[in-house]
Amino acid sequence: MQNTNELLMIFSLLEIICVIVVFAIFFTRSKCFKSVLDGKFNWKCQLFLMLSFGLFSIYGIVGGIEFMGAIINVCDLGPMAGGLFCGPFVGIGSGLIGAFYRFSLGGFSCIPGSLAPFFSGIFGSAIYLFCGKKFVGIRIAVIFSVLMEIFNLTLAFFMIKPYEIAVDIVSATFFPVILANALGMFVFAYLIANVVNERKTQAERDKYQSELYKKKTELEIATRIQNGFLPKKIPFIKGFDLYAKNIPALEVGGDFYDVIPLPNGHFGLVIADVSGKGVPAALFMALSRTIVRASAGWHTAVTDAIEEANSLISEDSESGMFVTLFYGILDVDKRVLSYTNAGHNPPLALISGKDDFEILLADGIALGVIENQSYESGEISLGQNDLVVFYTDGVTEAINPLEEAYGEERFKSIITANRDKSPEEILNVVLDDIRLFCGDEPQFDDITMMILKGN
Amino acid sequence: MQINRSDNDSIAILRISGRIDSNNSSLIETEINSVLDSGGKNILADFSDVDYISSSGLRVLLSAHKKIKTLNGNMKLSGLKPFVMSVFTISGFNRIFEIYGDEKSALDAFNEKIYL
Repeated sequence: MQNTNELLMIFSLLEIICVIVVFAIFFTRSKCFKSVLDGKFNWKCQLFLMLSFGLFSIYGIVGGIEFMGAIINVCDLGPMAGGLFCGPFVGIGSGLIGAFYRFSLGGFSCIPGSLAPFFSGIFGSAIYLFCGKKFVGIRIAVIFSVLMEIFNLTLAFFMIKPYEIAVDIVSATFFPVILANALGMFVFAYLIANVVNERKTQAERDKYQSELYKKKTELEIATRIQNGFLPKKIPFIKGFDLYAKNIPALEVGGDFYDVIPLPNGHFGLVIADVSGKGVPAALFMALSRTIVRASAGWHTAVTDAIEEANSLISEDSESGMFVTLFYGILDVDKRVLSYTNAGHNPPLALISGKDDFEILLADGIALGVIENQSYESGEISLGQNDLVVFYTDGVTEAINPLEEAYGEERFKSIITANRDKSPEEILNVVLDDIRLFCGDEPQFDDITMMILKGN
Repeated sequence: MQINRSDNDSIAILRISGRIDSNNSSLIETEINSVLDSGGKNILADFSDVDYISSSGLRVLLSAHKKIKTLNGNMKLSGLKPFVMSVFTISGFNRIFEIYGDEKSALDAFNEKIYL
């Protein structure tokens, strides 16, 4: 008979567990618990949680099973969980609610029965504070509930008189009560652990997305700066055809070209490549372009203009940024291009009637590296159908999926094969050829070209 | 790209291998900064196994060169392959960096200066 009774008792306790599950689900999904997890102290929420856990404690008493005049119940679970997960206000408050209710019921286990929820709330809160107001984890929560119930039952054992009844009650209820409370606590802790984990992953995802967004915005800004500092329209140059194009890489590389109408009717031609990528490169490009434009206006000799630009840019470059730049002045009447080179890939000239390229070499260091440098200059006469191709290393260093570079030879032969076309046509043929060569390999540096042809 | 660091007396030797581009040049910057932060000011960067260097790589070297100069330290490069050397020549960086054929001659040059 005794076995059947105990079995029935365990089933009844399982029913209670089901109620706990439902309560715990609503509790862990409530806005109020989220505010607790966020570490915010909100009076309304605290009050709401305190009343909820208090009512839950009352339910633990009402729903308890009467056994030999004592009630086996989970009325301690509310204050324990309330204190352990939400802090002292909720834990002690709900413990008091449970305690008063139990006290009003009377009976010979009245005093220890009323003290139990109250102590549960206090100890739960103490652990919450001791663990730095953080979720303590499933294991600690369950161990705490077991120890707490042992404490409460010991208290009951010593307070219930006469001694024989105390022995009967405590020995009969010892395991079912501990089991029910531990299971209930497990349910709470398990659901909370889920919520805590979800929040963590959510936070990581949010962070990743905001970084992605930031990166994307930065790329857009860099592209806009770069675009803003490229010539909107190439001016008409008498006796010449000029065409230029910049294809920025996804991560902007700070390439630029410029055509500067000079006071004496000449034109300054610039092609340049800034070190680095992204917004810093774009800003440095804007700075360099502005300085070179100004120096070009002040000086009639290419080397003077570039020496001055170098000193100005070097003053501003502390981060090791620099720009490789080729600068030429086209004298439209004499049809002569005089030039200097600040560490840039030397342009290629293809003179009508010749098959070998002339390389426009002039020794000089990139701008912004070191102040007070001298630059060499050179000159080339340009007749009808003579070509000069200015480019950045994004052209020759474009790679295919096998990591082979497009290279100077391929570049030269496609130009030679199309030398009779207009600069615009040649430039587009070269771009198509690079795209064909690179296949699916993403473009990894800016590609910039400027082609000048005598007509 | 990989960086392997070993120290020879007061000289930090960084053996770099692979391609140096904008995606990884910051690793070199970090490595050089850790040498400088721990009080080192003599760096030998060996490029024997470097196949490619982009302008981002040059920027990192230039910034290191400027820092080391203010510390009265010295940075030398060694073992540049023809393509890498051409990048240095075109940009004019061969003017500001001390470049040696191999690691040993760079080390010898360091030692001459240090012990003289």
